[in-house]
Amino acid sequence: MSAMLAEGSIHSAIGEVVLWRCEPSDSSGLAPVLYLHSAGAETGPLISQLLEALAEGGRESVAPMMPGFGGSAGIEEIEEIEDLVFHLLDLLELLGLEGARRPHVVGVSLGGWLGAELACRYPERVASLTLVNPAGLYLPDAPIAELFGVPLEELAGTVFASLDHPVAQMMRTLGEALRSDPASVPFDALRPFMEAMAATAKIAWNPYFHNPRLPGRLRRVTTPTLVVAGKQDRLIPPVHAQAYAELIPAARLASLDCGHMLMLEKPFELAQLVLEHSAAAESA
Amino acid sequence: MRLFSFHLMPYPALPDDYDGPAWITCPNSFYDPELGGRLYNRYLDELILAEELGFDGVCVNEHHQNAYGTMPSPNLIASILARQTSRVRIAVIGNALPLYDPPTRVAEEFAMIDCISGGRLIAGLVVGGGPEYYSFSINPAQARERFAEAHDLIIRAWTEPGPFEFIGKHYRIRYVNSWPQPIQKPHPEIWIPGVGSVETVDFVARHRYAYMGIPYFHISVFERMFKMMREACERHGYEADPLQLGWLVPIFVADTDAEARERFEEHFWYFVRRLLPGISVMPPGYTSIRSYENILKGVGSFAQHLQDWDEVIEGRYAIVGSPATVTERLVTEVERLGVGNLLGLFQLGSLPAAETQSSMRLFASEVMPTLRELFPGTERRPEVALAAAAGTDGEGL
Repeated sequence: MSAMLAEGSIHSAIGEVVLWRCEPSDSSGLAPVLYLHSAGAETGPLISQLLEALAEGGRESVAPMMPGFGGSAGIEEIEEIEDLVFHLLDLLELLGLEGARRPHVVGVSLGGWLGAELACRYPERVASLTLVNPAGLYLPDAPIAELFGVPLEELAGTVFASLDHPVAQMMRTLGEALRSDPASVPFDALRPFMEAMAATAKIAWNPYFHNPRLPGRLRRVTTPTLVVAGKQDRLIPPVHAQAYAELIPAARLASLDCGHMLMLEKPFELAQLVLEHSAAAESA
Repeated sequence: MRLFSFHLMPYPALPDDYDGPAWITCPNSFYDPELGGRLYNRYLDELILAEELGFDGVCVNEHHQNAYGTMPSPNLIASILARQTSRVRIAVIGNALPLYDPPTRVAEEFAMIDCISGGRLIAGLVVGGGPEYYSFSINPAQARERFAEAHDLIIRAWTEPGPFEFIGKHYRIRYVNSWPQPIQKPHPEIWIPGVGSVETVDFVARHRYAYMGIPYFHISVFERMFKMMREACERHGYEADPLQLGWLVPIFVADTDAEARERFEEHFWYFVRRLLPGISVMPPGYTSIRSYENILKGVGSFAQHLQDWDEVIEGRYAIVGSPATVTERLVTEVERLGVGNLLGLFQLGSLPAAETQSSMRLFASEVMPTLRELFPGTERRPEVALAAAAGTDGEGL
């Protein structure tokens, strides 16, 4: 029997939160995975391969959409990453992700930054931490590439190692239509992306995808941490993952042969890494 | 109707083999300061000429890190004009409020210009173009909020006795007490430019300010914007005064239609093909999703997509021709649009000084008299002006 992916919602102090859940067919009683999405606002269906593979391994996962992303409300209350950390604390309580259900946090890109901000403040609330191509740091010799305002067809080449990926293809098609005949593009196809970029800009326009004070705080992450880099990540160069692994005590670094959209490009490999890492954290 | 001469102060000498954007990343190694100095002086001469020729006002504006308009500080240019002219209104459209921190800087500098010019300033308040949010790294997702808050602060700095405390979300100043204060009371006339976003139009109508349609679109786009503005004024309980509406359009006059095209066309294409690329960059959060949807609908009629001259003429992207032709087209469009401010761009792209001046002179001698005769009146309707001064939103009028 396969796992079931389902959409749900809860009320938070700042508004309705859309969330995606994927539960194993047999309840394992294992602590769940809390998935923190990237600036691309990937919803459950887009990451179903990853979530279902986690469920196959006995891990339930919960993927709440942050305010302004994927239909969640409350972006008016968010000005910086710190505000998302406080919202996340609310969500941990609301979703019962505490005690025996203390989550294994998996954060991708923007979500990785958020996971790191949470874990350096409240390491005891996180069972384990997996940061995937995480944003959050500034490395003068390897700056994060431009994301904002880059035409979709160009962006596809930045975030995917190969343009053969169906999502990369879709981005190219949409981008080329916008370039040649903008009036022909159904706005509903663009809206989720426009909203996600506007929400991301609020948090990450300046400082650009980083918190200058984060590096000095990462020493506080005592949670078992795995950092995963896509070797061909052209948005956030893989040395960012390496820097995280050096700044967080006892963090481990893994690399996969893919680009920035690692969770879409290598979903099964990522699931395997997360399953191993969370199991190791639990047995430690 | 009031007639203005608008200047962008463009850079006319981008290398022939450069085909990148004129904004944000256009290499500043292209800028020749010796040429730049000559251009500033020449362009100032063209603005000063407008006063001699009988225009009601001159307009300058603010853009950063680009070749399209080389006035990062329009206030510097306006302060020179305040000294070198004696009669024309000086319209700065405008200062991009979110780029000034704290925005009391705008209240101060505008008050200086108003004082030096003897009360001739028109104060334009703008959000700033999309590219400026890249050039200044100001968060575009805060653009509208910062604009609204800065606006309130500036108006209060001009109208409330200081010192007072201003504690906003983006600006916190414990002692607001602007010296100097503007001559014009309660404050200089305010103009706000826009591309037809619902929010901006409503803001302008509510405050009884004037709305300037941002150019380089098909004439039908202006028609729609001004209709929106009139409807918004009605919603706020009054009838729009034509002097609350401004149409900005490139104008070139020569002896015959053929000669006008011959002398103007290549400079127009320099403007469209070399200086416009990059202007329409819209960073995320800069407009509401709803406005973005509207803008996307109109984007096809943006001048950058123009292919041939007939489209330029038909869509009224520029008014070009003999005095008779230019007069006829301007009269028709001014009537149709119902605007009370005509803002002519007489210098455009790489148009040289001699061409610019001869066109302005022909306009003044051959076109202006008819416009004056057909559209007399250069003062706001008293009830609209008074309500604006009192800061009411027109309820009960």
